[in-house]
Amino acid sequence: MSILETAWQFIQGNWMNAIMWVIGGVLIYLAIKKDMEPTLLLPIGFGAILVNLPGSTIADPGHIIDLLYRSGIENEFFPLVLFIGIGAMIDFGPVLTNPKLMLFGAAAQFGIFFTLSMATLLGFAPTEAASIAIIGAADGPTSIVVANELGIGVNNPGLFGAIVVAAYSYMALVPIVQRPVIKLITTKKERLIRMEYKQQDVSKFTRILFPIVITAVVGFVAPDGLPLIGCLMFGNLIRECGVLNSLSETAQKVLANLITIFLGISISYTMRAESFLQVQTLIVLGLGLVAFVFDTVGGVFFAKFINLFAKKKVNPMIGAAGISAFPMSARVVHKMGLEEDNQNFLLMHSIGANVSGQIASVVAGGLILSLFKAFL
Amino acid sequence: MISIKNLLSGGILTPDIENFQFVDSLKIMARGMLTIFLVTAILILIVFVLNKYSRKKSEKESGTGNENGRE
Repeated sequence: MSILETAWQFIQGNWMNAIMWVIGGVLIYLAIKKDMEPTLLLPIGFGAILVNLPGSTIADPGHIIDLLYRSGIENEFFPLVLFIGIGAMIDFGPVLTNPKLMLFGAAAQFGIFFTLSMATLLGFAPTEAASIAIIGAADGPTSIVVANELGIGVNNPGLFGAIVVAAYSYMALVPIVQRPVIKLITTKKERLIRMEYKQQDVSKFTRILFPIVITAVVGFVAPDGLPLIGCLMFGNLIRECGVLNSLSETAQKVLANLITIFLGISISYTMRAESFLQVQTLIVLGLGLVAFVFDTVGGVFFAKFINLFAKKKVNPMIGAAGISAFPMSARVVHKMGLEEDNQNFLLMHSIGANVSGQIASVVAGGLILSLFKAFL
Repeated sequence: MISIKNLLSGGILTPDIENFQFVDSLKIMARGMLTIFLVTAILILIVFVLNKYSRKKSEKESGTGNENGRE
Protein backbone atom coordinates (compact mmCIF):
# COMPACT_ATOMS: atom_id res chain seq x y z
CA MET A 1 0.00 0.00 0.00
CA SER A 2 1.45 3.34 -1.02
CA ILE A 3 1.96 6.20 1.40
CA LEU A 4 -0.77 8.16 -0.41
CA GLU A 5 -3.29 5.35 0.04
CA THR A 6 -2.40 5.06 3.72
CA ALA A 7 -2.77 8.82 4.12
CA TRP A 8 -6.13 8.75 2.31
CA GLN A 9 -7.41 5.93 4.55
CA PHE A 10 -6.22 7.84 7.59
CA ILE A 11 -8.02 11.02 6.48
CA GLN A 12 -11.19 9.04 5.70
CA GLY A 13 -11.15 7.69 9.22
CA ASN A 14 -10.39 11.03 10.81
CA TRP A 15 -11.91 13.60 8.44
CA MET A 16 -13.71 15.45 11.21
CA ASN A 17 -10.50 15.71 13.18
CA ALA A 18 -8.72 16.87 10.02
CA ILE A 19 -11.21 19.74 9.66
CA MET A 20 -10.45 20.75 13.25
CA TRP A 21 -6.71 20.75 12.48
CA VAL A 22 -7.42 23.09 9.57
CA ILE A 23 -9.54 25.33 11.84
CA GLY A 24 -6.74 25.30 14.42
CA GLY A 25 -4.23 26.11 11.70
CA VAL A 26 -6.33 29.03 10.45
CA LEU A 27 -6.59 30.44 13.98
CA ILE A 28 -2.82 30.14 14.46
CA TYR A 29 -2.29 31.77 11.04
CA LEU A 30 -4.61 34.69 11.92
CA ALA A 31 -2.83 35.11 15.25
CA ILE A 32 0.73 35.07 13.91
CA LYS A 33 0.47 36.42 10.36
CA LYS A 34 -2.43 38.85 10.78
CA ASP A 35 -1.75 39.73 14.43
CA MET A 36 -5.44 39.20 15.29
CA GLU A 37 -5.89 38.72 19.05
CA PRO A 38 -2.77 36.47 19.10
CA THR A 39 -2.88 36.05 22.87
CA LEU A 40 -6.09 34.08 22.55
CA LEU A 41 -6.37 32.83 18.99
CA LEU A 42 -2.97 31.13 19.15
CA PRO A 43 -3.65 29.03 22.28
CA ILE A 44 -7.20 28.27 21.06
CA GLY A 45 -5.85 27.22 17.64
CA PHE A 46 -3.13 25.04 19.12
CA GLY A 47 -5.60 23.54 21.56
CA ALA A 48 -8.00 22.71 18.71
CA ILE A 49 -5.24 20.64 17.08
CA LEU A 50 -4.15 19.12 20.38
CA VAL A 51 -7.54 17.73 21.41
CA ASN A 52 -8.30 16.39 17.93
CA LEU A 53 -5.18 14.33 17.32
CA PRO A 54 -6.08 10.66 16.83
CA GLY A 55 -5.99 8.89 20.17
CA SER A 56 -5.60 12.16 22.07
CA THR A 57 -6.61 11.76 25.69
CA ILE A 58 -5.52 15.21 26.79
CA ALA A 59 -9.12 16.39 27.29
CA ASP A 60 -10.33 13.18 28.91
CA PRO A 61 -11.45 13.25 32.56
CA GLY A 62 -8.51 13.82 34.86
CA HIS A 63 -6.14 15.00 32.12
CA ILE A 64 -4.65 18.47 31.81
CA ILE A 65 -7.19 20.17 29.47
CA ASP A 66 -10.08 18.65 31.39
CA LEU A 67 -8.55 19.82 34.69
CA LEU A 68 -7.98 23.34 33.36
CA TYR A 69 -11.50 23.52 31.95
CA ARG A 70 -13.12 22.30 35.15
CA SER A 71 -11.04 24.48 37.44
CA GLY A 72 -11.02 27.63 35.33
CA ILE A 73 -13.86 27.82 32.82
CA GLU A 74 -16.66 25.73 34.27
CA ASN A 75 -16.57 27.67 37.54
CA GLU A 76 -15.82 30.98 35.69
CA PHE A 77 -12.58 31.52 37.63
CA PHE A 78 -10.42 32.41 34.59
CA PRO A 79 -12.73 34.97 32.91
CA LEU A 80 -13.52 36.70 36.20
CA VAL A 81 -9.90 36.93 37.31
CA LEU A 82 -9.01 38.15 33.82
CA PHE A 83 -11.53 40.92 34.38
CA ILE A 84 -9.47 42.14 37.36
CA GLY A 85 -6.52 42.51 34.99
CA ILE A 86 -8.64 44.23 32.33
CA GLY A 87 -10.05 46.62 34.96
CA ALA A 88 -6.51 47.50 36.01
CA MET A 89 -5.64 48.27 32.38
CA ILE A 90 -8.54 50.65 31.69
CA ASP A 91 -8.18 54.38 32.13
CA PHE A 92 -11.69 55.80 32.52
CA GLY A 93 -10.28 59.34 32.24
CA PRO A 94 -11.77 60.18 28.80
CA VAL A 95 -15.26 59.14 29.88
CA LEU A 96 -14.99 60.92 33.22
CA THR A 97 -14.02 64.08 31.34
CA ASN A 98 -17.01 63.74 29.04
CA PRO A 99 -19.56 61.43 30.72
CA LYS A 100 -22.10 61.91 27.90
CA LEU A 101 -19.97 59.48 25.87
CA MET A 102 -21.42 56.72 28.04
CA LEU A 103 -24.62 56.99 26.01
CA PHE A 104 -22.81 55.57 22.98
CA GLY A 105 -21.62 52.62 25.02
CA ALA A 106 -25.25 51.95 25.92
CA ALA A 107 -26.55 52.33 22.36
CA ALA A 108 -23.92 49.99 20.94
CA GLN A 109 -25.32 47.07 22.94
CA PHE A 110 -28.27 46.99 20.53
CA GLY A 111 -26.66 44.12 18.60
CA ILE A 112 -26.99 41.84 21.64
CA PHE A 113 -30.77 42.20 21.80
CA PHE A 114 -31.23 42.20 18.03
CA THR A 115 -29.29 38.93 17.81
CA LEU A 116 -31.38 37.51 20.65
CA SER A 117 -34.47 38.06 18.51
CA MET A 118 -32.80 36.56 15.43
CA ALA A 119 -31.63 33.48 17.35
CA THR A 120 -35.14 33.03 18.78
CA LEU A 121 -36.54 33.30 15.27
CA LEU A 122 -34.12 30.57 14.14
CA GLY A 123 -35.51 28.23 16.78
CA PHE A 124 -32.84 28.30 19.48
CA ALA A 125 -34.04 27.74 23.04
CA PRO A 126 -34.22 30.97 25.12
CA THR A 127 -31.04 30.32 27.14
CA GLU A 128 -29.17 29.29 23.96
CA ALA A 129 -30.39 32.39 22.13
CA ALA A 130 -29.30 34.59 25.05
CA SER A 131 -25.86 32.97 25.15
CA ILE A 132 -25.40 33.43 21.41
CA ALA A 133 -26.61 37.04 21.62
CA ILE A 134 -24.03 37.93 24.24
CA ILE A 135 -21.34 37.55 21.55
CA GLY A 136 -22.48 41.10 20.76
CA ALA A 137 -20.99 42.21 24.08
CA ALA A 138 -17.70 42.02 22.15
CA ASP A 139 -16.14 40.74 25.31
CA GLY A 140 -14.80 37.19 25.62
CA PRO A 141 -14.97 36.86 29.42
CA THR A 142 -18.57 38.16 29.50
CA SER A 143 -19.57 35.63 26.82
CA ILE A 144 -17.97 32.78 28.79
CA VAL A 145 -19.59 33.77 32.09
CA VAL A 146 -23.08 34.33 30.65
CA ALA A 147 -23.08 31.13 28.57
CA ASN A 148 -21.78 29.14 31.52
CA GLU A 149 -24.27 30.58 34.00
CA LEU A 150 -27.07 29.72 31.58
CA GLY A 151 -25.89 26.12 31.56
CA ILE A 152 -24.62 25.99 27.97
CA GLY A 153 -21.11 24.83 28.97
CA VAL A 154 -22.55 21.67 30.57
CA ASN A 155 -25.59 21.01 28.37
CA ASN A 156 -24.17 21.88 24.96
CA PRO A 157 -20.35 22.08 24.92
CA GLY A 158 -20.31 22.38 21.12
CA LEU A 159 -22.47 25.49 21.22
CA PHE A 160 -20.37 26.86 24.09
CA GLY A 161 -17.17 26.38 22.07
CA ALA A 162 -18.72 28.05 19.02
CA ILE A 163 -19.83 31.03 21.13
CA VAL A 164 -16.39 31.53 22.66
CA VAL A 165 -14.55 31.12 19.37
CA ALA A 166 -16.98 33.54 17.65
CA ALA A 167 -16.65 36.10 20.47
CA TYR A 168 -12.86 36.16 20.31
CA SER A 169 -12.60 35.89 16.52
CA TYR A 170 -14.95 38.80 15.86
CA MET A 171 -13.14 40.89 18.47
CA ALA A 172 -10.04 40.33 16.40
CA LEU A 173 -11.95 41.10 13.20
CA VAL A 174 -13.38 44.43 14.43
CA PRO A 175 -11.46 46.49 11.84
CA ILE A 176 -12.74 44.27 9.02
CA VAL A 177 -16.33 44.13 10.29
CA GLN A 178 -16.89 47.71 11.47
CA ARG A 179 -15.21 49.70 8.70
CA PRO A 180 -17.59 48.79 5.82
CA VAL A 181 -20.65 49.04 8.08
CA ILE A 182 -19.71 52.54 9.24
CA LYS A 183 -19.05 53.63 5.65
CA LEU A 184 -22.36 52.20 4.52
CA ILE A 185 -24.50 54.02 7.07
CA THR A 186 -22.73 57.39 7.29
CA THR A 187 -22.30 60.11 4.69
CA LYS A 188 -18.96 61.72 3.92
CA LYS A 189 -20.29 64.96 5.41
CA GLU A 190 -21.05 63.17 8.67
CA ARG A 191 -17.63 61.52 8.78
CA LEU A 192 -16.04 64.95 8.37
CA ILE A 193 -17.67 66.38 11.51
CA ARG A 194 -14.97 67.62 13.83
CA MET A 195 -15.33 67.29 17.57
CA GLU A 196 -13.62 69.59 19.98
CA TYR A 197 -11.76 67.98 22.87
CA LYS A 198 -11.12 69.94 26.03
CA GLN A 199 -8.33 68.52 28.14
CA GLN A 200 -9.59 68.44 31.73
CA ASP A 201 -8.01 66.96 34.78
CA VAL A 202 -10.13 64.40 36.58
CA SER A 203 -9.66 64.49 40.33
CA LYS A 204 -8.31 61.46 42.16
CA PHE A 205 -11.45 61.56 44.28
CA THR A 206 -13.65 61.03 41.19
CA ARG A 207 -11.38 58.32 39.81
CA ILE A 208 -11.51 56.39 43.08
CA LEU A 209 -15.22 56.79 43.66
CA PHE A 210 -16.19 55.90 40.06
CA PRO A 211 -15.51 52.12 40.23
CA ILE A 212 -17.20 51.87 43.63
CA VAL A 213 -20.29 53.77 42.47
CA ILE A 214 -20.60 51.72 39.25
CA THR A 215 -20.38 48.47 41.19
CA ALA A 216 -23.09 49.64 43.58
CA VAL A 217 -25.43 50.88 40.83
CA VAL A 218 -25.05 47.78 38.64
CA GLY A 219 -25.32 45.50 41.66
CA PHE A 220 -28.57 47.22 42.57
CA VAL A 221 -30.11 46.98 39.10
CA ALA A 222 -28.72 43.64 37.86
CA PRO A 223 -27.29 41.67 40.81
CA ASP A 224 -26.46 38.71 38.56
CA GLY A 225 -23.89 40.91 36.83
CA LEU A 226 -22.04 41.63 40.08
CA PRO A 227 -19.24 39.07 39.61
CA LEU A 228 -18.42 40.64 36.23
CA ILE A 229 -18.66 44.30 37.18
CA GLY A 230 -17.20 43.65 40.64
CA CYS A 231 -14.02 42.07 39.26
CA LEU A 232 -13.66 44.71 36.53
CA MET A 233 -14.07 47.58 38.96
CA PHE A 234 -11.92 45.96 41.64
CA GLY A 235 -9.08 45.93 39.11
CA ASN A 236 -9.78 49.57 38.27
CA LEU A 237 -9.82 50.56 41.94
CA ILE A 238 -6.41 48.91 42.42
CA ARG A 239 -5.18 51.05 39.50
CA GLU A 240 -6.68 54.33 40.63
CA CYS A 241 -6.20 54.20 44.40
CA GLY A 242 -2.57 55.22 44.02
CA VAL A 243 -1.27 53.12 46.91
CA LEU A 244 -1.20 49.71 45.20
CA ASN A 245 0.99 50.40 42.21
CA SER A 246 2.82 47.10 42.30
CA LEU A 247 -0.48 45.17 42.59
CA SER A 248 -1.87 47.20 39.72
CA GLU A 249 1.15 46.37 37.56
CA THR A 250 0.91 42.70 38.49
CA ALA A 251 -2.81 42.61 37.63
CA GLN A 252 -2.22 44.36 34.29
CA LYS A 253 0.70 42.21 33.19
CA VAL A 254 1.52 39.01 35.08
CA LEU A 255 -2.00 38.09 36.20
CA ALA A 256 -3.67 38.95 32.89
CA ASN A 257 -1.01 37.12 30.86
CA LEU A 258 -1.05 34.03 33.06
CA ILE A 259 -4.83 33.71 32.94
CA THR A 260 -4.87 34.37 29.19
CA ILE A 261 -2.50 31.45 28.57
CA PHE A 262 -4.69 29.04 30.55
CA LEU A 263 -7.96 30.49 29.26
CA GLY A 264 -7.03 30.04 25.62
CA ILE A 265 -5.86 26.45 25.91
CA SER A 266 -8.77 25.47 28.20
CA ILE A 267 -11.32 26.59 25.61
CA SER A 268 -10.05 23.83 23.32
CA TYR A 269 -11.93 21.42 25.63
CA THR A 270 -15.09 22.53 23.83
CA MET A 271 -13.54 22.15 20.39
CA ARG A 272 -13.54 18.40 19.99
CA ALA A 273 -14.67 17.54 16.48
CA GLU A 274 -17.74 15.53 17.42
CA SER A 275 -19.29 18.38 19.42
CA PHE A 276 -17.89 21.39 17.50
CA LEU A 277 -18.50 20.33 13.89
CA GLN A 278 -22.23 20.89 13.69
CA VAL A 279 -24.46 23.11 11.59
CA GLN A 280 -25.19 25.15 14.71
CA THR A 281 -21.53 26.26 14.81
CA LEU A 282 -21.92 27.92 11.40
CA ILE A 283 -25.21 29.52 12.49
CA VAL A 284 -23.54 30.82 15.67
CA LEU A 285 -20.69 32.30 13.63
CA GLY A 286 -23.28 34.00 11.38
CA LEU A 287 -25.25 35.32 14.34
CA GLY A 288 -22.04 36.58 15.96
CA LEU A 289 -21.40 38.64 12.85
CA VAL A 290 -24.98 39.95 12.99
CA ALA A 291 -24.40 40.97 16.62
CA PHE A 292 -21.25 42.96 15.82
CA VAL A 293 -22.85 44.61 12.78
CA PHE A 294 -25.95 45.69 14.71
CA ASP A 295 -23.88 46.90 17.66
CA THR A 296 -22.19 49.22 15.19
CA VAL A 297 -25.49 50.20 13.59
CA GLY A 298 -27.04 50.91 17.00
CA GLY A 299 -24.17 53.16 18.06
CA VAL A 300 -24.00 55.10 14.80
CA PHE A 301 -27.75 55.66 14.52
CA PHE A 302 -27.92 56.80 18.14
CA ALA A 303 -25.25 59.42 17.38
CA LYS A 304 -27.30 60.52 14.35
CA PHE A 305 -30.35 60.76 16.59
CA ILE A 306 -28.43 62.95 19.06
CA ASN A 307 -27.42 65.20 16.15
CA LEU A 308 -31.10 65.97 15.48
CA PHE A 309 -31.15 67.98 18.73
CA ALA A 310 -27.54 68.80 19.62
CA LYS A 311 -26.06 72.23 18.92
CA LYS A 312 -22.56 70.80 18.74
CA LYS A 313 -22.78 67.93 16.27
CA VAL A 314 -21.32 64.55 17.09
CA ASN A 315 -19.38 62.61 14.49
CA PRO A 316 -21.64 59.52 14.14
CA MET A 317 -18.63 57.25 13.81
CA ILE A 318 -18.07 57.78 17.55
CA GLY A 319 -21.21 55.72 18.15
CA ALA A 320 -19.55 52.72 16.53
CA ALA A 321 -16.75 52.90 19.11
CA GLY A 322 -19.34 52.17 21.80
CA ILE A 323 -18.76 48.43 21.48
CA SER A 324 -16.61 46.82 24.10
CA ALA A 325 -13.77 45.66 21.82
CA PHE A 326 -11.09 47.84 23.39
CA PRO A 327 -9.05 49.50 21.94
CA MET A 328 -9.60 48.12 18.41
CA SER A 329 -12.90 49.88 17.87
CA ALA A 330 -11.61 53.27 19.03
CA ARG A 331 -8.63 52.89 16.70
CA VAL A 332 -10.84 52.08 13.72
CA VAL A 333 -12.94 55.22 14.27
CA HIS A 334 -9.89 57.41 14.84
CA LYS A 335 -8.23 56.13 11.65
CA MET A 336 -11.40 56.56 9.60
CA GLY A 337 -11.68 60.15 10.84
CA LEU A 338 -8.11 60.86 9.79
CA GLU A 339 -8.66 59.28 6.38
CA GLU A 340 -11.50 61.75 5.69
CA ASP A 341 -9.72 64.78 7.16
CA ASN A 342 -6.14 64.55 8.38
CA GLN A 343 -6.84 67.20 11.03
CA ASN A 344 -9.86 65.43 12.53
CA PHE A 345 -8.64 63.82 15.75
CA LEU A 346 -11.39 61.63 17.18
CA LEU A 347 -9.19 59.43 19.36
CA MET A 348 -10.12 60.74 22.80
CA HIS A 349 -13.85 60.74 22.03
CA SER A 350 -13.71 57.25 20.55
CA ILE A 351 -11.64 55.94 23.49
CA GLY A 352 -14.25 57.43 25.84
CA ALA A 353 -17.08 55.69 23.98
CA ASN A 354 -15.04 52.49 23.84
CA VAL A 355 -14.39 52.24 27.60
CA SER A 356 -18.06 53.08 28.16
CA GLY A 357 -18.80 50.06 25.99
CA GLN A 358 -16.83 47.94 28.46
CA ILE A 359 -19.13 49.02 31.26
CA ALA A 360 -22.31 48.79 29.19
CA SER A 361 -21.46 45.31 27.90
CA VAL A 362 -21.03 44.05 31.45
CA VAL A 363 -24.35 45.67 32.42
CA ALA A 364 -25.95 43.97 29.40
CA GLY A 365 -24.42 40.64 30.47
CA GLY A 366 -25.85 41.09 33.96
CA LEU A 367 -29.26 41.96 32.54
CA ILE A 368 -29.30 38.94 30.25
CA LEU A 369 -28.42 36.74 33.23
CA SER A 370 -31.09 38.33 35.41
CA LEU A 371 -33.72 37.91 32.72
CA PHE A 372 -32.83 34.42 31.54
CA LYS A 373 -32.05 32.63 34.78
CA ALA A 374 -35.81 32.29 35.11
CA PHE A 375 -35.68 29.91 32.12
CA LEU A 376 -33.33 27.45 33.84
CA MET B 1 -32.68 43.65 46.84
CA ILE B 2 -34.31 45.24 43.83
CA SER B 3 -33.59 43.11 40.80
CA ILE B 4 -34.31 44.16 37.25
CA LYS B 5 -37.10 41.60 37.25
CA ASN B 6 -38.80 43.39 40.14
CA LEU B 7 -38.01 46.80 38.73
CA LEU B 8 -39.71 46.30 35.40
CA SER B 9 -42.05 43.39 36.02
CA GLY B 10 -45.77 43.56 35.67
CA GLY B 11 -45.77 45.68 32.55
CA ILE B 12 -46.33 44.93 28.90
CA LEU B 13 -42.64 44.16 28.61
CA THR B 14 -42.84 40.94 30.63
CA PRO B 15 -41.91 37.95 28.44
CA ASP B 16 -43.85 34.70 28.58
CA ILE B 17 -41.43 32.25 30.15
CA GLU B 18 -43.62 29.20 29.56
CA ASN B 19 -44.07 29.86 25.86
CA PHE B 20 -41.16 32.04 24.76
CA GLN B 21 -41.58 33.35 21.23
CA PHE B 22 -40.15 35.99 18.91
CA VAL B 23 -42.41 38.69 20.35
CA ASP B 24 -41.04 37.91 23.85
CA SER B 25 -37.51 38.47 22.59
CA LEU B 26 -38.64 41.90 21.35
CA LYS B 27 -39.99 42.64 24.82
CA ILE B 28 -36.62 41.67 26.29
CA MET B 29 -34.92 43.90 23.72
CA ALA B 30 -37.04 46.86 24.82
CA ARG B 31 -36.52 46.12 28.51
CA GLY B 32 -32.80 45.56 28.10
CA MET B 33 -32.14 48.75 26.13
CA LEU B 34 -34.35 50.82 28.45
CA THR B 35 -32.54 49.50 31.50
CA ILE B 36 -29.07 50.04 30.01
CA PHE B 37 -29.97 53.64 29.16
CA LEU B 38 -31.45 54.10 32.64
CA VAL B 39 -28.26 52.84 34.31
CA THR B 40 -26.19 55.01 31.96
CA ALA B 41 -28.25 58.10 32.79
CA ILE B 42 -27.74 57.46 36.53
CA LEU B 43 -23.99 57.04 36.01
CA ILE B 44 -23.74 60.22 33.92
CA LEU B 45 -25.53 62.13 36.63
CA ILE B 46 -23.25 60.75 39.34
CA VAL B 47 -20.08 61.54 37.35
CA PHE B 48 -21.40 65.04 36.62
CA VAL B 49 -21.97 65.65 40.35
CA LEU B 50 -18.59 64.16 41.29
CA ASN B 51 -16.81 66.34 38.73
CA LYS B 52 -18.62 69.46 39.88
CA TYR B 53 -17.85 68.73 43.53
CA SER B 54 -14.16 68.09 42.76
CA ARG B 55 -13.89 71.27 40.69
CA LYS B 56 -15.48 73.38 43.45
CA LYS B 57 -13.25 71.76 46.04
CA SER B 58 -10.08 72.42 44.04
CA GLU B 59 -11.16 76.01 43.30
CA LYS B 60 -11.77 76.53 46.99
CA GLU B 61 -8.39 75.05 47.88
CA SER B 62 -6.51 77.10 45.29
CA GLY B 63 -8.42 80.24 46.39
CA THR B 64 -7.39 79.68 50.00
CA GLY B 65 -3.82 79.11 48.87
CA ASN B 66 -3.70 82.52 47.13
CA GLU B 67 -5.10 84.30 50.12
CA ASN B 68 -2.49 82.70 52.33
CA GLY B 69 0.13 83.76 49.83
CA ARG B 70 -1.02 87.37 49.90
CA GLU B 71 -1.03 87.40 53.65
